[in-house]
Amino acid sequence: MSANHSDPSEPRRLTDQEIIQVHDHAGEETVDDGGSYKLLPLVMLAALSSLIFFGGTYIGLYAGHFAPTVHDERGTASAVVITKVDPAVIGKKKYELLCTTCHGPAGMGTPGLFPPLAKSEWVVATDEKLIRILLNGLAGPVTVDGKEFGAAAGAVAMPAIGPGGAGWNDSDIAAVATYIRQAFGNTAPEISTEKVTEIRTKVGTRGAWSSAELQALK
Amino acid sequence: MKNGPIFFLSLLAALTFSWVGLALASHRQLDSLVPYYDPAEAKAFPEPMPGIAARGQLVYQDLGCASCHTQQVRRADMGNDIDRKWGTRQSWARDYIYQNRVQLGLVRVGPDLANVGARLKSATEVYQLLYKGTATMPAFAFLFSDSPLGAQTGAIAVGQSEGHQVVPTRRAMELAAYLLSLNSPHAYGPEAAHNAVKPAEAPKSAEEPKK
Amino acid sequence: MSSPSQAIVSESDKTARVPLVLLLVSAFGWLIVSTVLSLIGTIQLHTPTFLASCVAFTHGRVDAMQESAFIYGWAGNAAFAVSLWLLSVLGGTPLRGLGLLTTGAAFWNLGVTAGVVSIAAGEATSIPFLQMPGYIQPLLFVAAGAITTPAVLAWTGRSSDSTYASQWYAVAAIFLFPWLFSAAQVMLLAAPVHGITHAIVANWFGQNVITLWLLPVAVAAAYYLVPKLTGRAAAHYEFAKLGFWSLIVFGAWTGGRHLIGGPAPVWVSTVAVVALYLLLFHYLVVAINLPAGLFAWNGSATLRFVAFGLTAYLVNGLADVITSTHAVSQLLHFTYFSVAQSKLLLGGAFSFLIFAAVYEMGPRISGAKWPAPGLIGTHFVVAASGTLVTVLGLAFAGWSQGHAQAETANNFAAVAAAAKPGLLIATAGEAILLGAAIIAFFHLVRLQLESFSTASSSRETPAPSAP
Ligand code: HEC
Ligand code: HEC
Repeated sequence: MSANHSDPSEPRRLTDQEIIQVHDHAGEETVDDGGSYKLLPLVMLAALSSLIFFGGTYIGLYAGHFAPTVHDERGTASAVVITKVDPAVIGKKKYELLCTTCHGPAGMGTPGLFPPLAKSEWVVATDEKLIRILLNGLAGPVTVDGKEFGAAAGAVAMPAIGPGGAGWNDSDIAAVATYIRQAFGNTAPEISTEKVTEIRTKVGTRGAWSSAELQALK
Repeated sequence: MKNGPIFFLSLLAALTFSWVGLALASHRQLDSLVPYYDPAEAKAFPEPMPGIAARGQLVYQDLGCASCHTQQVRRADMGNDIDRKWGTRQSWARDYIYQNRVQLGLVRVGPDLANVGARLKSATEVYQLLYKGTATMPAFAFLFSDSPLGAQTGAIAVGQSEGHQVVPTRRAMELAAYLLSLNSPHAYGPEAAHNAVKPAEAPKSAEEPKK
Repeated sequence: MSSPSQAIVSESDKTARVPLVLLLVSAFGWLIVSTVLSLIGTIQLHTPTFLASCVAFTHGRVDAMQESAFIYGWAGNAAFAVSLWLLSVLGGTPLRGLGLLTTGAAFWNLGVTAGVVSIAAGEATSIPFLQMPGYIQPLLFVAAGAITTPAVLAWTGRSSDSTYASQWYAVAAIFLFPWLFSAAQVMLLAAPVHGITHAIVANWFGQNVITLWLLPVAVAAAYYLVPKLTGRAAAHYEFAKLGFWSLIVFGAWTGGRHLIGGPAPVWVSTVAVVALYLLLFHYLVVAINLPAGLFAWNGSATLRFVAFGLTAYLVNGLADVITSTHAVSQLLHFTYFSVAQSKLLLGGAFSFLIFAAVYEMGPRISGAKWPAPGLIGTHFVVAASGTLVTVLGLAFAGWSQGHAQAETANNFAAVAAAAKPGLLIATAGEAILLGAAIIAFFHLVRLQLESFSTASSSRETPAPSAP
């Protein structure tokens, strides 16, 4: 191997200074060769610009509008976000949270103690009455589905869940009202938050209603 | 390149540009991801990790479990992660907002663990796996200690030999709590809407999106 | 073949010998350490019981130690040595600040040693490319500062106003690394960002450690060695500047490629994919500038290292683009194929170009000839076959693993069985690479011993005039 020194085929090495010198002016004299352009610079220019064009287009198409929530390059940040949830779903959660203890998971109540919500005329009858019961509670004798409740001395009353009682907001009250109107075999139109707000503003905070007071409403 | 200062400045500018564009921009952008309040559940998601699980993550880090396990589910038309039941949907950035050092991983020698909490039945199952290993996953027996049979350790024994029982150490318990906490199935509103690809658009087989 | 000719000795400058040899010997020592760890890690992939009872050698820690030993031990030390030396010889100025440099080099290696030991003790950060614990990192940063200062002095104090491509690449590497390193230390460890941002920053850092620090040094070496050893100027050199800036400007954005299909917002990976495409221009320039190196397979052993390194470099650039496409990525992302790619880039392209540079620089900084020139050729054959076997083995393993995983019916025992043949081949490759690393280390050590005896026999190395 050491014989290779003198091997004439061994290329001559450039010195460090030569390396700098031979490259220093490279290219400068070849730019415009008397009007005849060299092909390579054009090819390189075309390569670079088409890469950049491709890159720009690709980013424009598949960068998901640079939104933090887009994880699919075909996704789009402009899609409408539906955060509105079915009130019946919230209503069910709310019902299970509070009402099941007395009215039971299937809305059947407890004979003689807690009236049922299934087949209850109070639930499906006017918005006015149902909302008032929920907002302010109900005490005293009441007839539900032909049976008498709350007549006995010391009978439990229906607690208020509005601002004067459990403190639920209007949309939760509307949701639970809608839920009990459409569950347990009941079928009645839903109750809107606006309607709850309207009645709450009208009646304000007050004690529990009696069945007679409510019947007096039209 | 005769002009030294300009050369240095250009170099610095190139690096800074990428730093601002990737590091700083994503920092500002992803900081805007807050837990998503779901009115139906009346709760915000994701939920913070319990303390013991956060300590378990440190065990996971120091043993380098991420060298064999990823924690990122890919979407349905990109690999079969969802078919493998590693999750019900792709992992989104919001899933990780409570994690200090995400353990995304680079190689899947073993299954993805992003939602492994949903698959594991109990801590005991984790202990069995870690103590014995499998034909493909190494055992981590050093996470367990020997104690005389009947000693009150308050821990579930994973094995017995005459007069002795093998019980998980504190580290093993933390690691198990961490693994059991790994689960984020919740579909946050914005992500669910922004990544929904109309069925017609979603390529059945995986092809590159048309250029 | 690559025995030093007269010209080498005449160009020798032994003033910076102590720090440069310190960096090189440590580098080659770390290469052995990291290859041993890599071998252990690969064995554990097909035989999980291997060293499983030993907590310090649990697979995750072996992986983290291997990566740190390779990146900061081997690649870091070697990149420092080669870039310092290139800036000195091309700047026509001896290195200044040698005391600082030697101290920096010593502390850098102390830091890496402490870091690797603390990973074994369970202190790994779990951040790819930044596995050594937070309390070691500031030491490394200060040491890096001490090492890079002489390089900046060599650049600003160069004797000629004209500069050459190698100098740009070397300066970029030396100058950008401290910025990159400090930004990462702050954002990932000292005042860490959270959630997916952490992953994005970690990927930005990890990719740039390669793209903006290690690879530029390798490319600098290639630009220097090809004209030097072939006696021919780089072809179409007028594009070199564009090629340089395209690496720096586009390369800095490729970090998101590991997040394709992942939980980062999609723009992060889209931008990275585009940057990978744009980088093709850089590879094109390197290819048209250095064909004399690319096809130097029957040149000297040193030139063959260059040819292998450049080929691996270009192949990897193409492979990056291909594996970033949707169809390939969903199959091979998260498999051993990505491990194979990084071995091709770091163990093939980077390491081979650095080996070539060391074979040129070793005699010139030590003032002695390589004691066994034939060993250079042997090293090439062993290292090249080891690298090929490892990379192909891992690629095969990754390919089989990807296909096996794509069948939902396959459990992980079946996936592991599919990957096993490839992993066994890779294990053999790692063993060959260990041999290569040992050969290189001992040759370098013998060169130093030799040069000491030369120095004591004749106080001054005779400096015959250049041919
Ligand atoms: C503490 C037990 C209790 C709870 C909790 C309770 N109720 Fe009642 N509820 C009653 C009682 C008792 C009555 C009958 C009041 C009476 O006797 O005047 C009643 C009556 C009613 C009525 C009218 C009668 C009927 O059966 O249709 C409705 C409607 C009603 N409750 C709905 C609800 C809803 C909705 C909730 C949950 C937000 C709820 N209640 C929670 C005890 C309760
Ligand atoms: C050498 C690679 C490797 C390492 C390191 C490793 N695992 Fe695994 N892991 C596997 C493989 C392979 C499987 C699949 C086992 C099987 O199905 O037989 C697995 C399975 C699991 C499972 C069950 C997953 C499921 O879907 O049921 C859990 C949990 C797990 N590993 C946790 C860990 C933890 C925690 C660590 C770190 C302490 C760890 N693994 C380290 C390879 C590894």
